[in-house]
Amino acid sequence: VTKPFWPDELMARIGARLRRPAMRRAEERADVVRAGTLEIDLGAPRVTVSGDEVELTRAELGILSILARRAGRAVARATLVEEALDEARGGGERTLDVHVSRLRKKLGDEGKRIVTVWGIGYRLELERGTER
Amino acid sequence: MTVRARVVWAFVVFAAPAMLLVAWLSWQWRRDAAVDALVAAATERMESGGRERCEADPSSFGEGWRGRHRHPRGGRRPTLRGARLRAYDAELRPGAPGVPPLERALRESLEAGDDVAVGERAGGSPVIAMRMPWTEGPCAVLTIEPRDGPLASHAGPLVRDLALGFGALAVGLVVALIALGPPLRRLGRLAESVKKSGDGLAVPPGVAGEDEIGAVARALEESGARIRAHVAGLEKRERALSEYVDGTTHDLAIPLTVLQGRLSDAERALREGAPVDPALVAGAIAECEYVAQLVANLAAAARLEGGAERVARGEVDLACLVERVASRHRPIARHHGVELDFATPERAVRVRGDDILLERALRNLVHNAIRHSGDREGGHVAMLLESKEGRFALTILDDNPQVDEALAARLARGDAIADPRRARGRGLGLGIVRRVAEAHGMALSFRAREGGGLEVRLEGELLA
Repeated sequence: VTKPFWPDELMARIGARLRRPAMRRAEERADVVRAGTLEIDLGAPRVTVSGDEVELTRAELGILSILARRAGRAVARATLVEEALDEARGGGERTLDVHVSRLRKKLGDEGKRIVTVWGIGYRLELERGTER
Repeated sequence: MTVRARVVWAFVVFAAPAMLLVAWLSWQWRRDAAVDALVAAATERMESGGRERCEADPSSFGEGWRGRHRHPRGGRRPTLRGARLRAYDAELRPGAPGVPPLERALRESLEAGDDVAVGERAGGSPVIAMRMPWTEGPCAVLTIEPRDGPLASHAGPLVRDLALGFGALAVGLVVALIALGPPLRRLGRLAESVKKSGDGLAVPPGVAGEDEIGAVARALEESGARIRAHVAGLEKRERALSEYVDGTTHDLAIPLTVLQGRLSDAERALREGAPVDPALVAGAIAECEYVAQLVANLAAAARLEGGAERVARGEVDLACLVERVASRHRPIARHHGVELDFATPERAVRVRGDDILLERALRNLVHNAIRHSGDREGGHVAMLLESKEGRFALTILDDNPQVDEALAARLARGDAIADPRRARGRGLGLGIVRRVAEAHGMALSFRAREGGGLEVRLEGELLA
């Protein structure tokens, strides 16, 4: 880290280093992402809130899986559209917003973990109210 | 030494001695040829009846030789006509009374074993002494005193040759000096125009031809143009540097003075046991942030001014770079009440470039976005990195409501944008962004966003 730097920056750099692919492998092997009472089993795939399974459409599950794989980090709307929606069925950014809105409702209180990131897209927050 | 004097000097020092040497060698050659011809003619004549006549009456033999005088091998060689021949016996004694004794030099040469000796009589006339193929009788040795030909006169042919040679040399010298006149005058005019050239060398009419002088004139003209361009560039850089130093000094002096004032206020408050106003500290942080940004930009500007060789060409992962810039600017963004976020692809986005300069450019963009979106709660700045089909696009967005199409157009043109709130900003940060983009072959664009805010986009090719 080039001087001068803020302590926050040092912590963020360490975090970034830990998030690099080599460090992430172990994390990715564990196919289950937990955030509060929300549990996302990426291998199954299956989503539960407080142990109760939540019925999700393929698109909703796709969106949540992508956000869960990159939990804590913002994901661009274009990435979500490209990877989770079917373009042939008119999947665009507006459609994405509709899917996210429904997903939030289905997840109940835990749906608030899916936050809108200005100018970018969405992020799944592992810690509620975490400031990034 | 002038060119004319050098030419004359060269004629005197080199051409004249060379001509003398050639004339002397030529004269020597002709003299040797004449001796050979006379000896051959005399031998032939003596063998065809001359010996008998000589031995019969040595005293009257050879006085003004008459009769057949054609040279036996023809041509224009010297003959015995008119030559005086005198006879001597094998012991080199006169063959008859009245015949003068043989000259000492000739005698010594013949006694030394030579068959032919060339010398002079006491009066200075040339004489050839030669042994006959026989040794008996009073006519075993003959002397020949030619009346004409190269041997008849020592200096005559040489003087004539020298006179002709020097005449030719003089004519050559005059021709050379005349021929040198026009080019020397052109050179003189060229020198005058070079001396008078202030802003630029203009080759005068008649100087620029197709010859070597024309080539020199053109080379001087081109060289002058290059020097002028170089000097103009240096002057421009010097002016820019001077203005830049002036501006930077001014820019640095203000925040340092403000910082000093705020620290003094804080110190006074602490000494008096009063609480330090958070706004005071916030202001001091803002000044520090500005000074740090300015100094970092100065370093980047110096590297860019140093030319392409100072721009590194390493492998840079833009995803890491974006993350690094975000982490560095989050405290600043937080301080300004701005939410800063970013998104990058999962995989690395590699480009070839200068890590430090690219980071500097991105930091300038993000810093500008934070600064202009700040001072109001709820501002947003986002960095979005995308890569597709061998290309990347890095977008920096803000929601500064003051941005409109006109401002975006001015930014795209590179016009300096003054910050009316702080009386700061000479466009240095954006200037560096522009230069870095140029140095990396990246496209930089500015666009006003719908609903307010600026979108800055940096696009380029990924590393293959």
